[in-house]
Amino acid sequence: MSDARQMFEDTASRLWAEFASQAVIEAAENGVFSAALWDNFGSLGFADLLVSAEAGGTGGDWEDAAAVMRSAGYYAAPGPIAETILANFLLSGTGRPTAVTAGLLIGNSDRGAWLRACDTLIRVAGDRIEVLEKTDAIMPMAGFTGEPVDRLTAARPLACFELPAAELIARGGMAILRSAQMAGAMEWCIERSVEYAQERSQFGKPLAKLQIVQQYLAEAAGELVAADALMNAASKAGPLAVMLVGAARVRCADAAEVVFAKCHQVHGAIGFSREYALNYRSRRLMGWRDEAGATSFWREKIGDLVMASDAGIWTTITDGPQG
Amino acid sequence: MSLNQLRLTTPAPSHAAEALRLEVRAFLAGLRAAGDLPPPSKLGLGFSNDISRKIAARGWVGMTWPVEYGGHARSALERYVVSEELLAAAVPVGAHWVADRQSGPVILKFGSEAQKRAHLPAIAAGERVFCIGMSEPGAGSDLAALRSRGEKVDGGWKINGQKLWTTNAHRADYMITLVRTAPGTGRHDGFSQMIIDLKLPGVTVRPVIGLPGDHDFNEVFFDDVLLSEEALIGEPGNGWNQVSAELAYERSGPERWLSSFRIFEAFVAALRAAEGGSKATRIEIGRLVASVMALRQISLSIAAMLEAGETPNLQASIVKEVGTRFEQELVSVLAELSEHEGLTADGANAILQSLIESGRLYSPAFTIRGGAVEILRGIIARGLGLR
Repeated sequence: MSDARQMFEDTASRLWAEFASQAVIEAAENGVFSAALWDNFGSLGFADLLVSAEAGGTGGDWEDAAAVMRSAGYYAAPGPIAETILANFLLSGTGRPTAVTAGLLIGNSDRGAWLRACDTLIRVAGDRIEVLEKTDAIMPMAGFTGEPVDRLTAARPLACFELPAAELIARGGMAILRSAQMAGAMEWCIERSVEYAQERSQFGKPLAKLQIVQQYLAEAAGELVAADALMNAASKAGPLAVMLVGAARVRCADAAEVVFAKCHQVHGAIGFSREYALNYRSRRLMGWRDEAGATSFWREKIGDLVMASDAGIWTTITDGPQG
Repeated sequence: MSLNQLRLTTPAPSHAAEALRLEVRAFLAGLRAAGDLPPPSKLGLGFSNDISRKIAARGWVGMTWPVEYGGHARSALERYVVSEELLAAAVPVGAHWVADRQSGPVILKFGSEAQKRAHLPAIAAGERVFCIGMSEPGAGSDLAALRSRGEKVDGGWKINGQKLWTTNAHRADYMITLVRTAPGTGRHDGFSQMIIDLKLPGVTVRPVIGLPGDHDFNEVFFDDVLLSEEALIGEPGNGWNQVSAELAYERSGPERWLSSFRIFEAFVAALRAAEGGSKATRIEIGRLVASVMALRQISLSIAAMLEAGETPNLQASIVKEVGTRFEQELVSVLAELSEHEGLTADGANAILQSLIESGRLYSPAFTIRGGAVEILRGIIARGLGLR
């Protein structure tokens, strides 16, 4: 990894380690927005990570964003992190000021993460970005993890910008960011499970001595490597590399099923409790996996691309950027 | 323990490699036009001395070997691109594959100057077929339990014993064999590798027919086979280290996830002709394609690591573990989808049907051969610090 990218990742990791404690995560799952976490997120330049330096941003690329999101997933950091980074990327071409905290609605969805806390609300649909007026027409609702995914009940557009393929870029960008978040969460789950298997003894020996436990975690690790490899390639290619980005999101989804199941199985009962830390990553992992029908969306998109092509399937796979 | 070591870096796209890909595709188009590459109706690496020679004539055997030994001094990434193009297109490459993938590299790494000059140019010309002498009736996953032995005699070695599951021994010229040359020492000590000319007196090859009904495997018996000194590769007693290197070569390539890919090509072609398939089928296609693409990225990363002089043994075990499970899954899923879509009902799409049946019969072998997945997971678990 480049030095700059490593620095982004390390800075992000220190941010989450200090400001996204278990207590902060729990509070977030009860709808409490952490000002301390978010102030630091902003002052470190992460909100504007994908905004170019010329436009006054941090000037990171999609690989940098993936590194930051992977770290966010590893730490189960709460808040509209992906939404803010992505929304500001989209806004940066419009001349509007970027958001401190973004509310992001993609397509015709009426629900968005942490809408209640946003200062800038946008909808990205078709070839347009609409900046919406933030009013109190926001119904508080909890999402799968308990973090808010509020419903917008009425909206008045303040401004509208044309951006060809805006919605596709937004979906592709979210696919990259979520894939990275999922990879980070999976890494934490497997690491913790390996440590747990070494720490926990039953029948006079550590669980790690049982071949079946070794096999479970080896399979989970293989799934993570596969998901990570594709996520890396997708973040290099950027949000419009539809096949690559979609495949990364799909492969992370498949890996998540295996990692979730195996890591919980290795942990036995203790992993099933809210008190033990596994749950913060594992619930998020599956929530991201199942979010907004994205897994099926991208599987179908790839399937459609294959069926629409005249070329053989191998050619279709290999002719994109790095396949 | 951090999983960071397993975060692979995708190599930057290489214009040379992509240009080479197009060359290979043009070559294959030429073979098809000449009727030398009919659409496959079954699985298997295939075997054609003629096609191997044609591939070698293009400089695509021994690609990364030094030019002085008949090689072409090309990069691991270029070799990888040629490999995946040939395998994805189901080209019969069996006559040179083992020699190119592992036998030649073993000779290059551990062999004497005389051995390199005797074998490498012939392999690179597609003229010499090698097979692998490792497994025995009593030694599969536990290779160290092998009992074939090499006894030092005047002028060389006398080999006695038996190998099993030896793919293509019946049509190979040489075998690189692992034997015990110093009985009674530690578990991994006392092994040596020998290059055995399969035409020597005392070598008997008998067919072993597998589930698909084809003759790929063999039993090979050695009854007082006399080898010269020059048959020994590397140091006597260093056989275990050498075979470990050989296994790493064997496990790293894209054939570990492309064995059943030809069914996918036939399936998609049949589905397009039947007007595209249901939404559920296209969703499944997307899922399968994502799996292929992920395995490709791992393999590309491994090629980059090899190019950088690294030894990606853990990564090779991972790509084989994930890849061979996928090979099986691809057969099962495509068989089901073909049924759901009625693609092979009433005798339609006979080639697709034949490929699916062949896939069913080959399937069990994918997760057994070249390192059973259970063993590979043990290697991965060790890499994670669990053992």
